[in-house]
Amino acid sequence: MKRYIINRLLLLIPTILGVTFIIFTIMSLTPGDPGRIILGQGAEQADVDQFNRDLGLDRPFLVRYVTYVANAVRGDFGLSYRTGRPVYESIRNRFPFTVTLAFLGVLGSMIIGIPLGILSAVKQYSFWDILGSVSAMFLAAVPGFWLGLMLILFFSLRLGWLPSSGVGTYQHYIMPAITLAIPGAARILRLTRTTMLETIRTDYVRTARAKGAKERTVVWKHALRNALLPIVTSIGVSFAAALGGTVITEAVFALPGLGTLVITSIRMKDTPQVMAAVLLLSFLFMIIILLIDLTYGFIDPRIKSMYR
Amino acid sequence: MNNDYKKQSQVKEVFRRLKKNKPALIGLIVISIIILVAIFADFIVDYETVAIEQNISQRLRPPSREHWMGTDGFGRDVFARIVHGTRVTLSLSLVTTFSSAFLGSIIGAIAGYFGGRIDNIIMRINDTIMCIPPILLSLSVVAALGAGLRNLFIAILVASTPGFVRLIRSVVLGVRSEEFIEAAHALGTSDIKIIWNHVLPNAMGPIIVQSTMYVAGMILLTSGLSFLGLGVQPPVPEWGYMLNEGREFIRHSPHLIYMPGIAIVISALSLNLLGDGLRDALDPKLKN
Amino acid sequence: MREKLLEIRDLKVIYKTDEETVEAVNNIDLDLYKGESLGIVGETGAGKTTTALSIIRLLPYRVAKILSGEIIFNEQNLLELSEKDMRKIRGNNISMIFQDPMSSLNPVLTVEDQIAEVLRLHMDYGKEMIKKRVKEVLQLVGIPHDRMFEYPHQFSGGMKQRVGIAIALACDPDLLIADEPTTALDVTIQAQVLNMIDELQSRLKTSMILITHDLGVVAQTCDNVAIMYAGEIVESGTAKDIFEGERHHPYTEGLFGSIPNLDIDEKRLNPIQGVMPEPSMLPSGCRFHPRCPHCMDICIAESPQSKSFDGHHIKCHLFL
Repeated sequence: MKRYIINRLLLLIPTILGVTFIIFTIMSLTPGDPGRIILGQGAEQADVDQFNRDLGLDRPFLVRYVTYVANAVRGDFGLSYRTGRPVYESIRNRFPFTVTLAFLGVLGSMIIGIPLGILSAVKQYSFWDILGSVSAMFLAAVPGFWLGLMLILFFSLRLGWLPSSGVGTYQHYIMPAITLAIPGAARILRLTRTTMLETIRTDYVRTARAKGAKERTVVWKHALRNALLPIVTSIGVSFAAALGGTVITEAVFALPGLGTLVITSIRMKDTPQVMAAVLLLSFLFMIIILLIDLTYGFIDPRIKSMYR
Repeated sequence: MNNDYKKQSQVKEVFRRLKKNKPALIGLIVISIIILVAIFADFIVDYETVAIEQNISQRLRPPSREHWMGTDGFGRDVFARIVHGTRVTLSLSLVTTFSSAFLGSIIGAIAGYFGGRIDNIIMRINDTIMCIPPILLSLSVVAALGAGLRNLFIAILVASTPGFVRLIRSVVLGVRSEEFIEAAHALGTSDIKIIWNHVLPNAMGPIIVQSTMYVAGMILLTSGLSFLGLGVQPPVPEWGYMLNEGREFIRHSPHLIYMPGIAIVISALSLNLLGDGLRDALDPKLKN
Repeated sequence: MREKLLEIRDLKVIYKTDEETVEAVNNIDLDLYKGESLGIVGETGAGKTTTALSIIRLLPYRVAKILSGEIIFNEQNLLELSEKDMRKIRGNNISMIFQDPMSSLNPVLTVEDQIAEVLRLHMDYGKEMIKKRVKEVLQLVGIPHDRMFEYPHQFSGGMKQRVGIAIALACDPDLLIADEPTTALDVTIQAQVLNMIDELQSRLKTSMILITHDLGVVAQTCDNVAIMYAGEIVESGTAKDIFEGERHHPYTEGLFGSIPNLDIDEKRLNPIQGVMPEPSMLPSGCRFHPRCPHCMDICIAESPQSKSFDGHHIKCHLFL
């Protein structure tokens, strides 16, 4: 197991470098030069050139990339074009908020999706199964931003129960978390249902029944643990969706997270800021994927024994 | 000759199974209607005078006989904007899906067919791109190139192609080991011909299913980015951007929120239903 | 004195899907006596496994239906028991060895856990006692007990089937149902596992139903034999009746014709012509008539009754 973990950690390094390279390449496709964007149309050409030289923008692409990575390792993601201050400063305060939100969203989708999926599968073709499948189908088609607006309309404006924007209390988290959770919950419900239906029909579940095990034991001990394997894998997809979804959710509820920072920075053409935020969220995503893979190794003895 | 016959009966069989699947059939009918609305939008309501022209005296009217879905903050008819928005959203989603399916199929087929180092390099890059959450990837492209229709297209293309590459590669890997490919090789058929004539047709089923599902996802993604103000630019009517504009009036004119959202949900839902049915009809084993 | 353990009367099972209804088992009768073994022989799809699953009532839920009949086990009709009472019998009084050991063991649980589970369910044992019993049964099936904490994927096919047998024997069942226990194994392992089952069955005095498509296997292990064809039992009797008797159902003769006989110098085998009918499109009259070399007019018109010659039952118009 130790070897497996070390293996996976080592694999993370080239992936991080690769992701950085891709984002860095995309960002350097920006037409026009940063000096002109920041100093404005009225600035002297000499000043603009000097500015670009100070930022090292006149050097070759690969040199700039290596410099960027070398600085980033030390926590220096460059200066914001807009404020002139290190971009890391504005990210530091917003990062935990966005991460919390994303975790709440994924947690919410699992809490809703997995039990309902099991229920649907165990009671296949029953009223609950049909209700579950139909609502999952429907909710998978609901865009997060619209769901958020509808929640505001109903719970904030009509009923006045929950605040429609901003942060402060736990109540501020409720609607954003639901907005993030619902699309994922729909997906997880459907996945749980199909994998449970498959495992319930396997030979080893029949063996368990032939032993005289109760239906509850059969479902929870024999079927679920096996069905859990693909579900655990799919949590990675949920996180990707949730981390991306925070951008939209934060915009709907006017929340001070990385998402709103990314949107404002895109409008202000503040490339270093966008790049740092996107990179950090991607790193987080990769670490989550790694953790999921490790969990998988613990649940599935076939993988566990491969690395013993 | 024989092959043609087989292909035809296969299509028939798929259609027969699809017809038995009620939800999929409903999805097919609804999406067909939506496509017709998109094609004949100009015959339903005029673009310039009704969907674009502002009329401040008529602003924020609730739904009435004159304006079925009310009017927006600029006094434009919401129904007209939804109808013409169908054209924008649907064509954008279809074009992006088709493009990324096309691009992804070519790259995936190359990787899967040739294998070895080419496969290794392509898949390394592909997997790395897939480590970036798709919306963030799209946002990076928009951040670099700026907002607007063309850049939105590029942004979504970049984010959605890797999924197709992976899918097609795995299908091609499966097909490649089949005997008829070996037979074609033995006859001296060129690689490109083999890929085009034998490998891709066999990968068509999964491509179609995945594409149908993708269009739904694209509708959500394009309208999402437009909602953030990074996609389609005003005054072009687009469902996501209509929601963005409507937010301001959410308290007193909630119809500006209901209508575009319902349009998005219905389109995405019918595509999902159809995609689900197609998947079951094409290959019951493909479930998940 | 032979004591009856299991008595199946007039059992009829159908499978019902959206597309069609299939008669899987059609009014069969079977008897099994304590300590004896019964071989059920037939081709794939003859209804052997359906019969076995009916006994422990594990037919595919919703699709399969038992239309009529009785299954009397130890003087109670299993078909009338509540699910709760039936659970007390499964794994305890009646246990089953399944066909495919590769998929019949749960991949995420250790072998020990899977054997101990059946003990925990039915025996009033403490932890130590369970562990002791697990080691005992593992030894019984020839698996070193230091492997008990391993997972199924660490075992070979033959070893997995031994684990399956250990699970089945853990609670000392009265009846063991072995559904083609060696079909999925390598030929070299088949004899080993089969000998073991045979040996354990006679040593533990467990009654056994052995399902197989192989007459040779039956000859080696079983006291009694029933031949199944298209959901019916066409011939049944003692092993002696079947292997040495003078009268036979034409299908049984066909089955013997399909086995290479080393004593007689034959140029080629005499397999039965044709294939077993689709269970959804059964022929009229005697179900075997389209393939029967002795087919008469009455065979097409009427289904034959079973006739007994001193306990040797044959269901054929030739003998009526």
